[in-house]
Formats: sequence, structure tokens, C-alpha cells
Amino acid sequence: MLGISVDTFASAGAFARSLDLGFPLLGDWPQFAVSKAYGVFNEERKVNRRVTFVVDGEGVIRHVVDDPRDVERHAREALEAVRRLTAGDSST
Amino acid sequence: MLHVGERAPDFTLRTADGGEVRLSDYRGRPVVLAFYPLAFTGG
Repeated sequence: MLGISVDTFASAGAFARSLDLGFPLLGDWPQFAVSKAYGVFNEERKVNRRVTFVVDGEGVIRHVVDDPRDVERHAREALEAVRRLTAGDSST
Repeated sequence: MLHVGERAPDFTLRTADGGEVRLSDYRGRPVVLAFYPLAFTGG
């Protein structure tokens, strides 16, 4: 799993360590190029919106969670979407 | 914002420990991209 933050590398590293994350946390600061490409950058406040994309093995977006408040929903729906994708892959 | 069915734009970004990650490195398996506001803000 990839996490993308607009925060600085130093604090992103501290954040990752504090959560003991099992995936890389990526810094998109200070240009926000990726956030802008995905359309999740809030130009007014200069921060990302809380949006989760699930991308399949072909690089196509298969699920989007756009909910600024319910953090649990992002993890729950992302896991479900990954399970569906993995289950539907007959090559594995 | 991008929607279901659209192609996820490839990118290369630095990891917190100084490495690099390309989205296309993950081709062949699902990837979760979690965008969120500043670390430690909780919202």
C-alpha cells in the first residue's frame, strides 16, 4: 500500500514510525504534482483532501473513497476493494 | 478528481527514508493510494 502526503519528508517519517505502517509513505511536497494529477489538492488551503484510490494490476482505478470525516471507511472500503480484485484474478 | 474506470497517472515520489517509488513498479497487483491532509492533524 502507498500513502501519499503533502507533508515534509521528516515529519512524514516520524508519522510513519509512530503508526508502525507496513507500507511506504510518500512525500508529494512541495510541488503537489501527484495530488494535482489525481485532483485531490485543495488549492485554497494548500493541503490534500482525504481521498483513497484503489488501483488494479493494470493501472486502472477500481474504487474511490471521498469522505473527509469517516477515516475508518477509507480503510474498510479499500480492503474490501483489494479483496475483490484479488479474488477476481484467476491468474493467481 | 479522477473516477472509477480512469487510468491512474504514473508517478515517482520519494519515500520518507530517502528511496523512490514508482506507481508502475506495482503493475500486476492492486495498489491503495491514500491521500490525506497533513500528518498529525487527524483531519
